[in-house]
Amino acid sequence: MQHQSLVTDRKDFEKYLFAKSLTSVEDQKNEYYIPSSDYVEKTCVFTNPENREDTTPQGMSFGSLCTVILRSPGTKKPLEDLYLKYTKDKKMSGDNEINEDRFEVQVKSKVADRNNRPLLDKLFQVYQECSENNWDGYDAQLISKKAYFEAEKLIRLLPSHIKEPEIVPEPTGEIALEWYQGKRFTFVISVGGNNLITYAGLFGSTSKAHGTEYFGAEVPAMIIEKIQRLFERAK
Amino acid sequence: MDKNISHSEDLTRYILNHHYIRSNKTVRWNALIPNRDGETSVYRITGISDTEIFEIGEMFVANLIGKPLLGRTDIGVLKIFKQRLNVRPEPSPHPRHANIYGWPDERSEQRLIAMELAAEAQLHLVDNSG
Repeated sequence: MQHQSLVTDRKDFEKYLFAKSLTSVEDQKNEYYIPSSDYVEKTCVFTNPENREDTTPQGMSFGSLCTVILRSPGTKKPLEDLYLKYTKDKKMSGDNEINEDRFEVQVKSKVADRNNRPLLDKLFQVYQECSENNWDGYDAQLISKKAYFEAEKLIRLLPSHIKEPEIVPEPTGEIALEWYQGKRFTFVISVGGNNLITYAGLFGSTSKAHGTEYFGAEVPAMIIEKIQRLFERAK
Repeated sequence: MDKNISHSEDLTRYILNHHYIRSNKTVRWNALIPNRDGETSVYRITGISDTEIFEIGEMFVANLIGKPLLGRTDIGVLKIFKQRLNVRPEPSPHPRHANIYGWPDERSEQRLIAMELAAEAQLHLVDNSG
């Protein structure tokens, strides 16, 4: 599972938790509201392997795994898994060595996975149907495990506000996600297990685009922009 | 068949896999993506009836390959040329067989061209009602 970084150190984390976005509503249960629609319906887990100082947020017991459930203000459903990743950043002050803790808070969409379950089931079905060469009668290449797993990763990383695509096998052995809004309003992204996303889109009668982007820990922003552009143009 | 393919001819691509047909009964771009040799197999259909076109598909495509014929998608040669592709006759296994060639190497560009063609193509499904 890939994570989306939210904040990168403890100061940012505390700021994030208390001053900016989160409001503790049930401190003893470690439950918070997160007033951002981006993280709706997600469960948050904070981990810290070592003792914390007295700046520890109220209601969080560091020293071992600490679970904090963030709930959306509207639905009260749990928000995305939030990992507090601990790293030790040693700094020298005079003759003494001071251990300064640094944190990285990351998001992982546990609940979003459940929301994507039907799409992941469809992906598996496509994979099964196209896991042998010549699945289309025209010498199509089989869908490889690498392509399947990369498509699964791609689906899991799609933002929850993006409309569900169709899963489309390609005779090249790649798996595509297709958003179809009409004959000349179609956008497709494909993966083949080589850390690349290729895309192609028709955004009306005169506008079109195609290209390739590196696929690492997240879906490239320009891909998301193009999906959104499709729906804006098709209105 | 004439060895030269005219601008005014129509071509068809027979469809043997349901992933090439959308639920709204339109053809998907992936039906037209070229094979490993960089060609898309088609048939020249100008001057023959709908029944004859499907008969060729059954006998010379579906039966040979061993998969059921689901339908076909028709497109004019002119639209192929507009995408800077070419068509050449390959009269085996049938005198009307041809191949679209000249596809770019880049996958994303192939896909875009296939999307353009699919947007112009007409899907005809096999009638299984009777």
